[in-house]
Amino acid sequence: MFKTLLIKEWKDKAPLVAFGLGIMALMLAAFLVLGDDQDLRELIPATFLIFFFPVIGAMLGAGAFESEFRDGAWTYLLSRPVRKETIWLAKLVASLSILAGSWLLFIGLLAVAPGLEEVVSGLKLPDMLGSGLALFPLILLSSLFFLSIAFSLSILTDKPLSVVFGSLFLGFVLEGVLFVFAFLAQGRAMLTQSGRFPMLGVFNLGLVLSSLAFLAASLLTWLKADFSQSRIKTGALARWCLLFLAAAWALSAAWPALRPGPKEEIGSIEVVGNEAVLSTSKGLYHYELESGRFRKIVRLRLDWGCSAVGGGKVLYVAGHDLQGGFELWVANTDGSDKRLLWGSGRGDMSVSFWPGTPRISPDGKTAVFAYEETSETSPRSHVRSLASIGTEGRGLKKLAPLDPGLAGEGEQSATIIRGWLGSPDGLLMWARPLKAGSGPRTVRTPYNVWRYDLASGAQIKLFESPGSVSLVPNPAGNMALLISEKDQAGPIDISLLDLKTGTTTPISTIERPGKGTPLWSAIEHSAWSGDGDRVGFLIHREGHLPTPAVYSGKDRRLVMGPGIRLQESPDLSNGLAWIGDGTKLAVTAVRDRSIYVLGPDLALEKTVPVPPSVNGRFRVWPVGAAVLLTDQENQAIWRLDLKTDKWKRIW
Amino acid sequence: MSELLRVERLSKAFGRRAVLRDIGFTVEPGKVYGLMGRNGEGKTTLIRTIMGVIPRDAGVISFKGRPVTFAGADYKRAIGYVPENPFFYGGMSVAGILAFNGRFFPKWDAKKAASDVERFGLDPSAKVRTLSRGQQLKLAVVAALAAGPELLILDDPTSGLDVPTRRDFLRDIIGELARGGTAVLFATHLVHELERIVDHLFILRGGRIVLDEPYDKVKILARRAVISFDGPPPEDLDIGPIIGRRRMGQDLELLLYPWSEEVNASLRGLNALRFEVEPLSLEDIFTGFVQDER
Repeated sequence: MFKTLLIKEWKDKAPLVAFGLGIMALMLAAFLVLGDDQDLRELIPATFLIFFFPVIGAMLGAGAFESEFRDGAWTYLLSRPVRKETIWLAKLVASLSILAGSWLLFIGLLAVAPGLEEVVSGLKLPDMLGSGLALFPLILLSSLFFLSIAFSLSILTDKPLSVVFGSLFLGFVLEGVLFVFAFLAQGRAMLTQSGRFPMLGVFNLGLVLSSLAFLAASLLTWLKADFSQSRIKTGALARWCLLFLAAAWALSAAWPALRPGPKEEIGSIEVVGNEAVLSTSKGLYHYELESGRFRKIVRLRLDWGCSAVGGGKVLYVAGHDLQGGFELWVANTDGSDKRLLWGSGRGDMSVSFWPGTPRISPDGKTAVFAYEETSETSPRSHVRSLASIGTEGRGLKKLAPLDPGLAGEGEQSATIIRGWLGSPDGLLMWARPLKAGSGPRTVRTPYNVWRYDLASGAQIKLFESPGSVSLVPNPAGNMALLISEKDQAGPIDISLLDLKTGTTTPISTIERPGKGTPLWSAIEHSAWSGDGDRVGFLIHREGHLPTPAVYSGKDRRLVMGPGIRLQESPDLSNGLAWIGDGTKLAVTAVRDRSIYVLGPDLALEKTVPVPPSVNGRFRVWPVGAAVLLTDQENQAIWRLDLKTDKWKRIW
Repeated sequence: MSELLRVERLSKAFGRRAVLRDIGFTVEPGKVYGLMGRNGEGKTTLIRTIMGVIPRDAGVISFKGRPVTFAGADYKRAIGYVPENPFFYGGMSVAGILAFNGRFFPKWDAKKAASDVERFGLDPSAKVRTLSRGQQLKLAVVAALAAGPELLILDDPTSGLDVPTRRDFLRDIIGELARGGTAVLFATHLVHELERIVDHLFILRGGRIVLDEPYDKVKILARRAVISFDGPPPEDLDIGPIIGRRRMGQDLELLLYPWSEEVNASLRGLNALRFEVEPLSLEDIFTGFVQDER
């Protein structure tokens, strides 16, 4: 039945096909003959595209029911033993297939006609209509749109020419309205959510859905309405069109919010004492000690999932605001009392990225963030500075410029905030100047350690090293483990740095495990115990197994444990953490897929295998009395029961 | 299956004008049904509703025991339909339209179609738009008969056919179909042609079926009574089922249905000068049921 009807429809449309082929041949001939003229070279294909495809789409649609009107064959067609939807579908498929055939033929011409493809691919819409939008795909989409309008209108009247002109008029008007609609939807979306709004995607989706709306209205009218009563038929089509168009446009506007976003990926866990906040690509989660599970506290699209925890609060940076900058937010760690601290809509400062920022003070009262100066003439300065603000939203303070030697005129500095200092409030910074114009890989010395007092604005150089430096402050912010070198070949010094006075207390000096081994490969995974007295690290020495070591400030003694036969991991994914009551060290061995638990004397107490499914990179995070393991490859988080050594998957 | 088509409580209105009201009837195989009514009484609307050309407002239509919907199509394979007006695609030839039509009907008899084309004197190569109305009607009849229908629905086609074809069609073809078990539903207002072939009568008036009886019964029970009075005929007569009346001076003509001995006794009790009773023709019956009183 369908085939019979389809063949009949194709035969009916043969004159239109011949007309289309003739016009296409004329265009090709004109392009080949007149194509040497630069103006005509673009004008001919552009005119053809703009007029031919919409018109041919409208003509194909308008002729859908022409033969039934012309010959009065409605009764004949409807009284045949064939379902009404089959008749409708055959007419639609015939029209669509001819339109698609014209597309394919033109695409074929692009391939064979010299220079035509280059010209057509270069045809763009004017900037005001969507900068750089290629004309050809939009025209194809529009031709489908015009076909669907004409197809639906063709059941109303026996005047196909009126349907063609009516469809073209209605189509262009609706396209204009849809464009404005998408533009307004974009404006609304920018005011209410972060992230880039796909306006052209909404416009294109709107065209497709509107086409479907017209076709659905046509189908329902065809199936339900009484064709012997033209007023009822017209009323039914109008009602269905309005209903479906409203739905299509609502869906188009809602699409950016409804479309599935990228899969949620776990990031790092920020641990301070018993508080732990997990950052993922879709939000922040607080670890609930009682239930042993994560609970979502902030839902946001994080372009930059940076958070800091302190004093029962979490500080985080949300995605783009209206000006394309970031917003700084603070909330209690249970997710309550969310507060916008700073966004680029305020003043001349735009929240910006800086390694180690934002930071929140241990008491949760002060936040520090990086910013860029903005102005009307220069929205982004690309010169980053630091500012502090109270977490209640008041007391914004631009911090005094950094030491001119680090970020002076003509020079840049690579500065990383390493931690929050104890009393008085201040920041510990690890910085090194960059010579003007130097590349990122240029050797940069010296490495300096700075203390920045927030109250006084004083910048005090605590330590200067001609070579690299590794710096890990303790939780109290009064002492830091300092690992430094005088050059890249000599021994490595391990010492304690008093962050108030800048005095150093040597702990040990070790030789590198191999010639030229970088400092951070020789001594790695430094971690302070919760009480801030002991600091553990892993030493690699030539000919020795990796050796865990702990220095106690109270005992002024370095204890080195027996070596652990760790499979060397080139991606530095082994780790070290204080667990349980803070007296035991857990050494994670990625290649061994195990956690080695060392007692107070650093003797190996037990080996805990990681869950069988964890077969890639993983990290462990001590939170209170629990140990969490993040498995990036499987996007899983496990919790270890230290009494039973059993794992439970919690993510 | 003794019942081919059943129509129950069928209603259809165009705007506020009700055309069909609670129509109900059944059609059985092998019988010729006459659907009679004046122009505009809804015969074509009823047939188009049955054929799914227009939707019904209410009611149930069943074919061979199965309800059919407006969108339904399968039941139409067993129905041949000849409409009042020609309706084919004008660009197709006679042979082309028959070949096209044949693809819709599983029982299509191409040989019979070719034979009937010759019988009716149609040119197979002629384009449909070049055919006269009568020729297009013949083509419609050919198409309907070649489909091997169990039910043939004829929507008043004979007025467009020439006399020999009409006679041939009515006397031979319909009779032959009915004898073969095909039911024929013949809508017309030209009743004298129906009289020779009809088995059962439906008469439509005011959107309702006012007569649904076997024709043999109708012939027996329909009477004309001409009553002569000594003075003007009385305005009110209580003598039962008068379906039509006409005054002619001191005479009163009554069309009566159904005739019975009680009606006869009532007439005798009128104290008229005289009265005569005679059987009615189909035309008289039709006129009686559809004509307003004068």
